[in-house]
Amino acid sequence: MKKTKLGSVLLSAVALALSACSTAPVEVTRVVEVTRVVEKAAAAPSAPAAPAATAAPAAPAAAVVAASGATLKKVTERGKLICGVSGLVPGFSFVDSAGKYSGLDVDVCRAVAAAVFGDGTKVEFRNLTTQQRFTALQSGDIDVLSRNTTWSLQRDTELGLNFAPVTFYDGQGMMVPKASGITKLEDLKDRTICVQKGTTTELNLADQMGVRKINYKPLSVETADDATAAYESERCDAYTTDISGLISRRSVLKKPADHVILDVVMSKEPLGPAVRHGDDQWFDIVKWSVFAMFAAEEYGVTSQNVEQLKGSTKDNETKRLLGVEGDMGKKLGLDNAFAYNIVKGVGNFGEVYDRNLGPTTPTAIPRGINSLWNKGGLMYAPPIR
Amino acid sequence: MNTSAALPPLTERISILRWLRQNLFRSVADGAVTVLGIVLLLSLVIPIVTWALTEARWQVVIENIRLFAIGQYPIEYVWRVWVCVLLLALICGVSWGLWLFRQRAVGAAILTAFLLLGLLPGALSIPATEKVAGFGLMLPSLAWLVAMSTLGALGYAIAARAPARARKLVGPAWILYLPVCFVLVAGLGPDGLLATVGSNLWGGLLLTLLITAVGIVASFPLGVLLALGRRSKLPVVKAFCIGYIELIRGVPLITILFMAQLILPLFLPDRVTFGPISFRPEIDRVIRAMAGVSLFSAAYMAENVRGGLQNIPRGQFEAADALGLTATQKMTLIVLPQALRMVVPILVGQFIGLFKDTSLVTIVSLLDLLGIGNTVLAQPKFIGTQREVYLFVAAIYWIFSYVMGAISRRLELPQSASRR
Amino acid sequence: MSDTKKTRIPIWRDERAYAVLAQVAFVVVVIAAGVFLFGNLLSALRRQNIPIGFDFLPTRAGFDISDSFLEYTASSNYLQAFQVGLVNTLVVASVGIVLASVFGLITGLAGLTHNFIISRLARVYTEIMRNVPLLVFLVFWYRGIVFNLPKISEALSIGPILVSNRGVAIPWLLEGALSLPVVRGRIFDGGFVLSPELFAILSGLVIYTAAFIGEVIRAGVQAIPRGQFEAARALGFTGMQSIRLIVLPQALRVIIPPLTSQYLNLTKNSSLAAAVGYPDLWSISTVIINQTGRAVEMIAVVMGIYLTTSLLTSLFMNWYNNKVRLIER
Repeated sequence: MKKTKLGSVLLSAVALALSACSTAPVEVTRVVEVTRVVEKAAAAPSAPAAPAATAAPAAPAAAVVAASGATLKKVTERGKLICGVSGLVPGFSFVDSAGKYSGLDVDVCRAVAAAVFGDGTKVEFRNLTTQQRFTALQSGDIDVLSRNTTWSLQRDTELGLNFAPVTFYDGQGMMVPKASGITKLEDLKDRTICVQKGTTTELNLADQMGVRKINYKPLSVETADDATAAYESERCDAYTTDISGLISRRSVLKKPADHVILDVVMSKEPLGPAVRHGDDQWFDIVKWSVFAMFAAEEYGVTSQNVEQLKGSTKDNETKRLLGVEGDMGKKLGLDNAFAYNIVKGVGNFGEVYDRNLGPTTPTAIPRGINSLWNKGGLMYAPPIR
Repeated sequence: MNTSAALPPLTERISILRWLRQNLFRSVADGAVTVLGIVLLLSLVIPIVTWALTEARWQVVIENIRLFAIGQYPIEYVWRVWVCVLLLALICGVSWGLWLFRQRAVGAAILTAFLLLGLLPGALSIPATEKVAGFGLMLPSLAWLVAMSTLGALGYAIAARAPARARKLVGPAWILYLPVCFVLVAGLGPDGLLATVGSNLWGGLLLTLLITAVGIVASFPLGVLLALGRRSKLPVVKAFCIGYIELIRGVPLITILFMAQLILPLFLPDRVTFGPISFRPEIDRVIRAMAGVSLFSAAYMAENVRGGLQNIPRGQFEAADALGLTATQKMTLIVLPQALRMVVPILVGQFIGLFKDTSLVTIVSLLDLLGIGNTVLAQPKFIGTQREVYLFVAAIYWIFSYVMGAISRRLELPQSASRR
Repeated sequence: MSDTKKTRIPIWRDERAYAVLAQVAFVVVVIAAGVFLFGNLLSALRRQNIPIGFDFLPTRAGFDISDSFLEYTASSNYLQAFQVGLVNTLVVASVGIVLASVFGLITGLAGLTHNFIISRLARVYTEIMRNVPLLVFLVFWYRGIVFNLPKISEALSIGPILVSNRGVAIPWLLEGALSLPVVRGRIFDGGFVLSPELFAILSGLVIYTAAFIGEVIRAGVQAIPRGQFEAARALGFTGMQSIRLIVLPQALRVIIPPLTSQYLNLTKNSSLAAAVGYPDLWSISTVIINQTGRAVEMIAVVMGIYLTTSLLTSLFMNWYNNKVRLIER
């Protein structure tokens, strides 16, 4: 009895719903309305756009949005920055047993977050493999890519990336076991070389060996861990990657002293954070967040003394950097204290470097060309004015 | 020949020699095979056990047990996860009391699962390093076990005395359980007891189980709809369902996850505006992974349900028509209950498959159980512990799948109204 | 209700009209959604100056591929790289299916013997494999086991097969003669050498899938009434003969549909080859995506290929299933 009752109630409900949109014309208008709304939604941001020729008439002219400012708006609305990192390279980006991220690349992300929010913790890290990194950036899944990525012409153009200043100048090197007697690339004839898939290193290796007409066997593996494991178990005779990577990887081998890094630099590998094309303001923000760290180191502003310097400094450059004078932050669409926030929350470039790659860390890499320009390195910030 | 006929008399059962001859050395060839088998077994087991007891560096698992269990989930909110598990113990107790009180095997399986879960905080509180000690917020193992068994027993005791009508509450309780847990894990507001914990902090086993649970709950109704749609008389609906099912079943899960993780945002507009409502269509990436897994699983689910539908005798349809039931009534009251009951073991198999398939989210860089395993392997201290880490991960997957399978095999479904 | 059908029903009360209308509406919504999403894609790509199309295929790839059955160097183009991946996938899938069937049959029959040790071994193996995700097994197998095989100088020889962490060398017909592999320095000489990656993905898939196939075969054989076997024995067939000639042909009818889905699973699962560093279709496609940024195009093509392969395999197995049925009748 009860069931029939329920059934009839259900039935009448369905009937009601049907009659609500019963007559044909109503149905049609609804459909039309949906399409219209949809088109409007897609076309809305296209207003300021240049009248670009659309490929398909179906594609609404949303097209070429001069999306400048869109990313910053998106990030602030979301309340956090999303930053693509590797997560598997100690010293650059890495998760420890307590679940905390650390590393140079990670600190660059924190600096951008500090610049935008005044709080370096408002950042979500996303582990990405080499194969996924560019797609993730293009699709808007991440806001910044800070994943020891090499700056190259093709990536700058075809892949639609904009590289912010280089945070680590690297070069490609080759590690071999000492006992192998290999001293130059030519000795690697017919040997197996471990290389990470989808990297510029992989392309360089093919180039360098091709030019020298050296026949070799590549072993392309997915992660740096695989490459290390393969090398250690003598699955391959040599391991090539960025020299910084080789140094940090050698330190974790069972007998580091048994392995040498050949005295050849096979390529230039400038590593830096990247953003996608189409938003110049966001590009500027990332760029100047990094420059602010360089400048802070140059002017001797550290996370320790920044508070005090803000009140007491007489130096005009420092004043502008810390937002005491001028509207530097405003010009970027940020708070004037953006650089202050970076230094306060993350530190200047020297501090960041020492924390992650300094001599006391397990991944120590001599600073070398990564010192400031006035100390014989290549790190140089344009004037902040 | 006829070995399985009747149990031999007691005196013969005692005779070990006879058993050996029956089962191991029936002929010379048989004996040779047996010896070969034993040699093979020993040559595999001895080195593995020796390695596990002497060489293996299990420290990697012990020190990182928190990462394996919950990923980067904030310590101060871990209690919310444990509340979920306690609730589960309670619901299991109640269900056991109401539904399955005669099935000791199922009870034993559930109990084992909880005992293993209970051992986890025990392992977590091993004071291996200072870092791990921060995990002391968790109940020590013993108190934990007591709490769980008390709640389970309480549920059982209440349920055993409850009137039969109470059975109707069990279903809704299970249906409510998942959203409640989801809210507990994800949080509600910016701060307070239930502060939001971003999905980027969910990890390890917690993330694996969440994706599985959502996947099961979402793909089941979707699969039923697709199965019904495939039998629809409307050609467009039918074609759409067939197209969807065949497309999804024809491609590997990894391509779908890759689409969902990396390419989907390209297809979404920068901003959606419906009159006054305006928002950015950014979908959380854990949600995207859940959707990917669910959409994938639904296609397989649909085929399984279809198998059940095909086995419903025509008479059932005709009888329903004769009673004057509408198409909807016929489906929901007559056909589907029978069809689903028929394919329950297959569906559970499908759920286990889904659970295992969630490991693929590692490839799109989510930190599930396997993904956490990979990050742990990058720790300079534990380079070269692949075997330990992956064996541990495999063991966790194994226990969960095995228990799920064992329960489904032993489960006798509660008799439904139609059978009473 | 039915008597109203005699009179003409006004169109707004005709159920059939609703059905047609609802379907038209459905199609419109689907098409509108498609156009909308595709439009978004185009505009997003244009905003970043990323071209769309397949014009990149004939340009120089520049990366090397470790395993290839085709002629390929770093100066080959993307299309050739893609073909290498396709062939690699097809090789892994087809060889994998054959080997998994053989080992699956052995496992299934082992599970059915009365020999306690053998049937227990088969059960334990099946239970271990069936409850562990393939990806977890593959990474364990590759990083935990294959990497730790003996060095080439200490290569393990199992009969004529040589096993080391530089690969597995098996005897092979070379120029009409059987060539046995030997270790020369740091490489294998003669025979056919499977790279560790090819070995890992092939053996991993076979070990994993064989457990499932074994279960399919065991269930299929058990579905045949015992009387069939006993009748065969009574007619004087030996045990093996009764299984081969009486039980298996009947069991095939039960076995083929689930076996088909296992074959399809193996083919699709070969896309996990990237996890063990083997350059299969998916793995090479992701590298191409990484070099060129053409994610959408590549994914579409890869999905299309897997779909075609799966549909073709199903068609073939359906045909075979029908054939088996006809013989049985």
